[in-house]
This record gives sequence, structure tokens and C-alpha cells, in this order.
Amino acid sequence: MRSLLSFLLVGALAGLPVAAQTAAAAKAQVAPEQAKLDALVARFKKHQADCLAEYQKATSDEARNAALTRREGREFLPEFQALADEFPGTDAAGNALLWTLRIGIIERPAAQAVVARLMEEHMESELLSGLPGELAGRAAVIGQADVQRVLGELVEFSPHASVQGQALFVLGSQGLESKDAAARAKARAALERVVAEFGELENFRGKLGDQAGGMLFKLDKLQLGMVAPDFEATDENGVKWKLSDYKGKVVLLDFWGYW
Amino acid sequence: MLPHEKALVQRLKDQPFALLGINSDGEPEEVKKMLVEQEITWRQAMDGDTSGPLATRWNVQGWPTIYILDAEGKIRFRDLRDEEMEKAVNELLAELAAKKGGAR
Repeated sequence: MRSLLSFLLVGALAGLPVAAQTAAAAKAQVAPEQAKLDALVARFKKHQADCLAEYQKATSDEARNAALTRREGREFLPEFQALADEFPGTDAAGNALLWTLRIGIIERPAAQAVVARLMEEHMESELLSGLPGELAGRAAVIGQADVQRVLGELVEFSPHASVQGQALFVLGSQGLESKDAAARAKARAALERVVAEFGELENFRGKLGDQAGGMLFKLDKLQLGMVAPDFEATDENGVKWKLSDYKGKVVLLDFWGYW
Repeated sequence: MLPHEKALVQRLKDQPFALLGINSDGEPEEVKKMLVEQEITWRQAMDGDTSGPLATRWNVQGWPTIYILDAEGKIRFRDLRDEEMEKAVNELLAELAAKKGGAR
């Protein structure tokens, strides 16, 4: 969408002298609030990288803990909030609000206010596709019931498939652990919809369809007493093997990493 | 985990037992080097990174994740570590031996 827009703008500017054209195009491509947000995000990321370097160089637990606390970037919270206040309703403001949820130390009232504002002012925007992931990470701060409600509203009211799909994925993956059978059934239905309709969407771990599929697979096929589903694998020498090759033996299957 | 697993594989080398690793350390060439260095001899599956196909399919969210299967391939235990893991394996081996003895 954005690249199509820039393409149209560049096309419309084709008749202008080169210098004016470049300046105008640059101006058209990055709105001032977006430039401000980009600069703030870059500063925040640099701060985090610096603190990580400090953590790695630290020689005492005290120094390490201090570096980790500093890394949270408490002082950036008001800056992101101020940017959102300065340019209300813009995508930059919405993204700045999302950033406030990523900063480790936001507290419940502030977090709830941010979420309410995102829902009120940015429901039409696709930037809300970033919200479900943040809600998943912040459920303990915001409150599980509120998170569920907001996710439900995103599924119902967002005009964007990417927002609906991300919301359904988080709804499903959270509800699967519920003690309530009705909640679990709802979670399963949500994950089945993700597989059927939103499988190609991605989060930081890859495609949502694969992940939702894995959750359902574990639920249906990997419970105690079930025969483990067969799989084919390749070892470090390129030799193929199957789980079923080991039938007749007691098998210890170990998903591991040396890292 | 590793010392325990090595001891287990050594102790059970003549038993109907297999330790199978699903590895998420990355490129097979690198993993191979590490396996040699660490003297890890049991069967491995190269699953790429932590978002590898098997880890994703089996919905693995933490490493290590353990499944212990009996000789029929049934999942009998999950997510045990060290002594508990060893006890579970012993139990299933004893069960298998008893079954074989009974069939004779």
C-alpha cells in the first residue's frame, strides 16, 4: 500500500525539475511525524544496544543488573507518549503508542489507556496488526480479561485481515491453556480459523498457520497414551531416518540445542 | 542434561533403547562440528533453528523438550529431566522385558 502510494507520487511529480522533484518526493515519502518517530526509535534501539554491551562487559552481578534495568529505557516512555499526543490519529502516533507497550516498565493504568486509545483512534489502520503480539506479551500487566476483550474486538471490527488473523492467533494460543472447557473450545475454533484463513500471516517465529497447526497437532496427537506420529528426518551426515525405524525400542525424543 | 544423557546412552548401549535428538542449533555443518567436539554419538535430526519444521509441528516452546515413548511408540512421559527422565526410561525397559519374558 505504502510503496504503491510512493510510486503514484513519484509518477505525479515526473514533470517537475529534478531538484524540486527530489525534494518534494522526499518530503512526500516521509511525513514529519514519521521522521520524528524514526529518529526516536533509532535512539531507543541504540540505547538498548549500548546497555547490552555494558551488560556483557560488566564484571559484577550488580553492574549486570543495573545495565539490564537501564536497558528498559524508562526515560523513553514519555517521549513516545508525547509524540503520540503531538500528532494524534496519524500512523506515526499509533506506532508510537505500540512502542510504549514494548518498553518494559509500563504500568497497568497507562497500558490500558494506550490500548483504549489505539482501539478508539486507529481501528481503521492496519498498524493494529502489531497490537495482538504486544498484548500477548503484556497480558499480565493489562489483565487477561481485558486482553481477551480487545482481541475479540479486533477480530470483529478491524477491516484488515492481518489484524484479524493476528488477533485470532493470540486468542487461540492463550485460550488453549484455559481450565474452562468452553474457553478451550473457542480457542480451538480460533486456531482452526487461523490455519484455514490466515495461515500465511507471520510473526517473529514464522507463519501463523504453521504455529497454530502445531498447537492443534499437539492437542490432538501428542497427549500421553497416544502413539507418537511418525516423522522423517535427516541427520548431520544427510542420512534420512524415521521415528518408526525405532519401533520395538524405548525412545527418548529430545528437542534440544547446544547454543 | 548432556552428561546425564551420555551416561544413559553408555549404560543402556545393549538395551532396546534409543536416544534421538531433534537439534535446533542451525546449519548441519556447524552442528556436526559441535557433535564431534562434544562426543555426542546418538542419532540426530537437523531441524534448523528453533522455528524448524519439527519443532513447529510438535509445538515446542522450550528447549529441551522431552518425550519418552514405549516400545509400541506410545507417548508415556513428557518433559522429565535428569533423574526423573532416567527413572522413566528404566521403568519402560523393565515393562518391555517383562512383556517379552511373559510371551516366551
